[in-house]
Amino acid sequence: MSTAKVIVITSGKGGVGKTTTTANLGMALASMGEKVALLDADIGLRNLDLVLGLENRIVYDIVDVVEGRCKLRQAVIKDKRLQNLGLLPAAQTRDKNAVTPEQMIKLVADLQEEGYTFILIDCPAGIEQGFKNATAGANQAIVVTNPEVSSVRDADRIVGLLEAQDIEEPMLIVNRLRPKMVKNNEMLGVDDVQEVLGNSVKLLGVVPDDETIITSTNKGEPASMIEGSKAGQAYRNIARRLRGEEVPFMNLEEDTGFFGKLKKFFVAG
Amino acid sequence: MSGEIAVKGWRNGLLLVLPSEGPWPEVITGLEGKLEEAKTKTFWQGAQTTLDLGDRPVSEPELEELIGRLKGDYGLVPMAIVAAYAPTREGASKLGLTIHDKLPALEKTEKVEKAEQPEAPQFPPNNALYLRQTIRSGQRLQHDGHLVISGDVNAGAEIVAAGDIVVFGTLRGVAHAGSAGDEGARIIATNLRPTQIRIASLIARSPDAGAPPLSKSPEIASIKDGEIHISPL
Repeated sequence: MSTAKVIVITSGKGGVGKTTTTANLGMALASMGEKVALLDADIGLRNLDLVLGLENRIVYDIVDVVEGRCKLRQAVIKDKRLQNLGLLPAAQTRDKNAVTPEQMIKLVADLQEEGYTFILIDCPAGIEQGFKNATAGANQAIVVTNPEVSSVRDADRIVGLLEAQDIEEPMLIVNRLRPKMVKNNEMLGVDDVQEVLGNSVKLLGVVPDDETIITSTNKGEPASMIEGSKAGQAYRNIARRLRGEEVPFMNLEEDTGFFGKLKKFFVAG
Repeated sequence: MSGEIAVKGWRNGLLLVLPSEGPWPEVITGLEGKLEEAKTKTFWQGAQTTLDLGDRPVSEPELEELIGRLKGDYGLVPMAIVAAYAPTREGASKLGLTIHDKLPALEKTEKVEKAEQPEAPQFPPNNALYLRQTIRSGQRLQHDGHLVISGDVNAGAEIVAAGDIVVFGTLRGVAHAGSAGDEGARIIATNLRPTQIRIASLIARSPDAGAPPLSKSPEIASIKDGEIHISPL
């Protein structure tokens, strides 16, 4: 049995960037030479294929595999840019009850047999059947949250549920941070989020709010492939951390002109 | 007294009185009827329950089945029995119940003047649960004694104790001390920032936005003059 990292990407709340995170980390990891499988567990609300620009290649989906209509290898779509990135798409015409946690465990085990080193599972929002399915086969978890109270509240709920399962200490990504607003006390900071979630949740990365995410998502080209995208850079850093590298956290402060730099210089001095 | 099945409210929960005579299955059916009937009127999920068997001999399997049903079907927490018959008492002790010869008297210091509520049995007063963990949103913790938590209680979490609540950490969620009616119960936290505090039947909520920031030093909440007061520890 191989020792692939099977990571579920989850948040509780919808719309915080689970799918975007899954796509970007998958791309970044694959570009670093990892053999990556992305598994869309959001059955009935299929999105991951869109963000990756692979919708038109789908023939079979996860439910087809589970119900034995095709082989696993037939359903996994090779990415058009990176040969070592595969996507197992969700079914769009079914719902969360179409698969069971036991079937997900089997599916993940079969993917490991195929030699994937990273298996990222895009978890649906909510804490019901879809969440149970998505977390069943995982051995690690990334909790994505936005720096806002409702999102952090749901992240806390999710961490509680994950702790009750056989999953390592969950890792945290704070997504869509606006450093300026944090500075002006208009937005929760990373430390505020961490204060609520506690020490048992390890900070994996902070992704700044970045317009390139919107355009790249619509185009089906994850931002982690775009040079000069700050969010893309943040995702690449997170991917390196997942591979075990020590990567310092980015300075998200925007350039504040000459005086700002001068001030920084003095502080640093 | 011998023919009556009674379901009574106690200060600390419920008292079920079973007749000393008559076939056991009939007694069980009768009790279930009473419970079903009372279920609609009373909220007793998690209520501490005392079972008064009088001098009726009840075998251990019979007792075990009854206790299981009270827990499973009605969500009651059987705590004690009153039984005069020795083998019954033995069975009860194997099931971990507190045993009384006769209905225990009320604590002298407490005066409860409610006609329909008879005296409360004495439960182990210093029964405390210590937990070293963070209680997160969506988690609910209930204990029939004091509750001590080393960790945070996050917003969206709910902790309920029949006795006091002590949190070595930040209390952001909802805390209910003295849930069985003890107005002397207290809530203590090193950082008290709760969504809501309840002691016995009183409720206090955190101030709405605009209020002065809450203290970062340990505080204690207790009932004074019929209101929940928060003061430095």
